[in-house]
Amino acid sequence: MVTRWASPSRRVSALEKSPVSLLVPFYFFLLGLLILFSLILLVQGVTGAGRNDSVTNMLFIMTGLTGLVSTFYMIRRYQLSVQKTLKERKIVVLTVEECSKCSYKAVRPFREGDYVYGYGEECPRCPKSLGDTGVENRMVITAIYLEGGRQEERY
Amino acid sequence: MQTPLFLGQDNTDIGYIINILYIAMFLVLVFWGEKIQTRIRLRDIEYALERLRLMRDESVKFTKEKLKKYGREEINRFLDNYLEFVTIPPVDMDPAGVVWKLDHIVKTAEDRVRSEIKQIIPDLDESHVLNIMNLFEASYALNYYYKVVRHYYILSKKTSSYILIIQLQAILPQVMMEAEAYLGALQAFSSGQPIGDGAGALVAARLMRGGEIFDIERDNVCTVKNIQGRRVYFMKAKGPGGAVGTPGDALMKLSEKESFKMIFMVDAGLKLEGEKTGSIAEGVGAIIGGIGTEKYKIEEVATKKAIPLYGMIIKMSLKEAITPMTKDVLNGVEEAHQLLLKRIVEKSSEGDTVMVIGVGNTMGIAQ
Ligand SMILES: [Zn+2]
Repeated sequence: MVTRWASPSRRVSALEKSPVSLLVPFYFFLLGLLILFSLILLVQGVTGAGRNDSVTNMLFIMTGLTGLVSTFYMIRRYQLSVQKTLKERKIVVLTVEECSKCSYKAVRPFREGDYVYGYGEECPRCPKSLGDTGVENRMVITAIYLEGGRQEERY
Repeated sequence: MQTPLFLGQDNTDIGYIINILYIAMFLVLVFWGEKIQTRIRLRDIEYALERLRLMRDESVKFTKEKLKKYGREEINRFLDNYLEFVTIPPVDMDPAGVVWKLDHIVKTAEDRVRSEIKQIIPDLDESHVLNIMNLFEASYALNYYYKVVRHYYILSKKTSSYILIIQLQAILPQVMMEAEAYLGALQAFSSGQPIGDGAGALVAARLMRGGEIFDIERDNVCTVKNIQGRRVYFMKAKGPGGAVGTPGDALMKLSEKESFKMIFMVDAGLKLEGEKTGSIAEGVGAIIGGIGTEKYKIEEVATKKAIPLYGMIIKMSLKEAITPMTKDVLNGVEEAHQLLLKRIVEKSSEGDTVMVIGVGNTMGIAQ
């Protein structure tokens, strides 16, 4: 559930995964056993397996169904959590630059050292005059924001 | 004909087994039910605690990594010390004047950290020092969460107090959410990106553009502009370092020579769950967070001179407040900017002097 857009948390997720990477196959192995067991119970319940005892058969069928339903529920939940992790990773911080002379606007990924109302890159549209000190031709950063900025699930 | 039987009442093998299992389970639950539940809850807490420890370690590691480029070993040791740094609040049995004492203590603590960082890395400019302090604070917060949760975990284990465990487990999700917010803040703090809390400062910065800017008191910048015949002072913390400034001190100083007709404050505010991020709430009062010293000073000035205090809150969650500013918050800033200009003209008349304070951490926002 750690947000994964920042690199430190990404590394935390890596740390979290080292024990998890062993646990996940084991988890699925258990789920597989559960499915198998549930199916056997279900088949036994349906065929009656030589007994003419309806209560036991009913119990077998119920247990089998419950087992199957809960296994599929668990698998679905695992899928959802994986999807959520992947979705959260794609968030990037963007810098918006504007030229004060020709109002050209550009959006690019954030670089270290950028700040709002600091100088950005040179304007590609305005010609660079000779003897320029370097600052005059540069665009001004007007905004820095998080791309796809919704970090929370909507309810 | 067979009458319907209860489970296990028939004389098959399975019936016996089920019968015995039921009795065994019943006995186990009667005698050890609470213990089993306690054990399960404690394991949950243990898991959360382990995650908190990982987050704390990750934060410290990340900070140290970021500080490596300055090539000073002492800064690591200073960070380790800083995590255990304590600031003792003043005694409040006699509350008169306690705000000034608190203000003094907090400023002393900040000065100490600031000067120590500067001493270790002398060629660091002010904005980087402030960003490093913010980074340190994130680690401090994570360490604090970890230590407090660990304290209650060990205590509840020792006393095996069911109530304590339930209470701890009940607040854990919220604690984890906040801890994750702090972890997410590291990236912004280390690279100086504007955070959601800077919304108020960004509104002020936008309004300040083009004016002549001067420093006032500690970490504040101010400018005067003419807006439709009104003399409007705009103030914010001095960027682009992660400062929050001392708007109270600055207002006290400015109001010595100026008589303000009204004060507008813009700040980021915590939304309630379900409210929309970036939505604006208007209101009355000193809209500023923190420990309350700056709020006190602003209220003092406003009350003594009978200046109305108007405010605007740009709403966001804690996580949005300390991680890079989202598009929603930025839209809120744009809206607050327009609304503020409108309100200044509406509420004041020509020739008035108006104060506008953009409150918040101005990391990544210059003026
Ligand atoms: Zn241009």
